[in-house]
Amino acid sequence: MNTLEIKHLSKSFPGFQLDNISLTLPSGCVMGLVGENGAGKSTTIKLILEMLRRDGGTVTILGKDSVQLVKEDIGVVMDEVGIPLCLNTRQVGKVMAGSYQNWDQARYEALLQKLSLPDKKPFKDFSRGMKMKLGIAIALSHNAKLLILDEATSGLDPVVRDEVVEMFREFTMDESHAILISSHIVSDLEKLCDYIAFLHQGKLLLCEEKDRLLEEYGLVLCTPEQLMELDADTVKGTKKSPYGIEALVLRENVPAGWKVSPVSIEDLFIFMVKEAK
Amino acid sequence: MRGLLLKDLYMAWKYCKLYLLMVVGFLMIAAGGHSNSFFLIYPSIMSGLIPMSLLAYDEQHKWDQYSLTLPYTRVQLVSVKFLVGLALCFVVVISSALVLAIRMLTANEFSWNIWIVWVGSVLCSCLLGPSLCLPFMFKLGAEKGRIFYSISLGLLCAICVLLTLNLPTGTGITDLAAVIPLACLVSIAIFALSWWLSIRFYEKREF
Repeated sequence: MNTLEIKHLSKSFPGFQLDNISLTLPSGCVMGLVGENGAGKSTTIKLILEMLRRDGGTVTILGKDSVQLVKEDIGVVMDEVGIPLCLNTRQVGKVMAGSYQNWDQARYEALLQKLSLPDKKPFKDFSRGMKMKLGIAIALSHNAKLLILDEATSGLDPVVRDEVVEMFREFTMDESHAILISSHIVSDLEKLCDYIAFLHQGKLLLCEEKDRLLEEYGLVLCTPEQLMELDADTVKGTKKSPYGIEALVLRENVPAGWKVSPVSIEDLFIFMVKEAK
Repeated sequence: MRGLLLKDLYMAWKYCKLYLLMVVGFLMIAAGGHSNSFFLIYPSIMSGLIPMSLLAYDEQHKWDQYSLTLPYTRVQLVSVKFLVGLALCFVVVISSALVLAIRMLTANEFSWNIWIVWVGSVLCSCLLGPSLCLPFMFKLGAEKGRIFYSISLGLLCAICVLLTLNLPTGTGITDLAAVIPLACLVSIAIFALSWWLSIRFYEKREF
C-alpha cells in the first residue's frame, strides 16, 4: 500500500510555479525531498497538508483524498515549530492530550527525557534545536503512521541530529509507517531515505530509489579529450576541477577500463541542478 | 476542541492577565458604589479585546500554521476564539448585572429600566469588539485586521453619535429600555454573522 500518492500537483504564485509534481511514497519507506531554497519543497508539503489550495492534481494520503480525514495519523514538524512561546513542555503535553485521541503521554514523557528537554522552561527560552526536538517529540507521541518533516533536522547539532535520524529509522521499522522529509542537509537524507526526489525551480527533476540512484550513477575524472569519447547520453553533468573535468555518468554506459567513483546524493543533486540550468 | 481551549486558557492567563485583573478591578470599583458608568462599560470592552489578542499571539508564534496540522478543522480553529469571546462575555455580563443590582439596592434606588439598559449595554459592548475585529483578522491577519477594525469601529461610533443627536430633547436613560432588547438581539445577530463570515474567510485563507 502507498502511504502517499501525489499526481500532477500544481500551484502557481506570482513568480513561481510548482509544476506537475507526481510522487509515490510506499508504506514502510522514507522519501527525501531535496532542493535549493525556493525549489518548492515547503510548497509541496503545504499543498499536501492543505495549507495551500492546489491549482491542479490529486493527493491521496493514507488512502484518503483529504488530509483532514487522516490528521490523527499524521505527525508534522515544520521548519518553525508553532508552539505558543509561553507554554512549557508539560502544558504542551496537556494541550496535545486534549487534541489527539491517540495521544501517548508516557511516550511523550520518555521522548522529552531522551531528548533532554526541560519540563518547566517556557518554549520562548528554548534554543532552535530544542524547539525542533519538541516538535519531533510531539510528532512521535500520537501513534502517527506518516511523518511529514519540513527541515526538521536543521538547527540540531550533529550528535542530536544523528540521534533524531536514528529515531526516524526506528519509526519506519514498522511497515505501516512512512516519512516524507525535506532537508538541506543531504547527508541526513542519504542516511535515512529509501527514495529521493529532486526538486528544482518548482519542477521534479527525478524521483527514484536511493540505492538505485547510487548504483546507476557515478563520477569520472577525466581530461576534455577523454570526455569527448563518452556518449552524450552517458554524461549527465560536468564540472571543472583543478585536476581536470569531473563528470556525472551513467555507469552502465561507461566503457570498460574507466575508473568510476561512487557519487553522493549531494553531488548528484548539484550536477543535476547545474545541468538543468 | 479541549486542547485548543486549554491552550487559549494558558495564553490568556499569561498574556492577558492585566486585562483580566482590570476587568475584576473595575467591576469592584463599580460595586463599591462608584456611579460613573465608565467602570461598568470599560470591563466589557476590555474582555472583548482578549480573543483578538489571543489571535494576534497565535499569528506571532506561528500557531496559526501549526494548528492546521493538528486534528482540527478550520471551523473549530475559528470557533474557539468566538467561544472564548462568548465565555468572557457571559462572565462579564453576569458580574456586571450583579454589581449593578447590588449598587442600586444598597442605594435603595433600584429601577428595572435602568438595570436593563446598563446590562444590555454591557452585553452589546462585550460582543461588539470580537464581532467587528475577528472577521478582518481571520481574513487579513492580525496587523491588517486591526487597521480595518479601527476603521469600522470609527464608523460605528459616528453612526451612534448621529443617532444620539437625532434623539428628541429630554430623552433619558430609562427611555432607552424599550430599544435595548432590540439592540441586544442585533448585537447577537452581528456576532453570529461575524462567526459565520470568519469561518468562510478562514476556509479560503492560504498559509
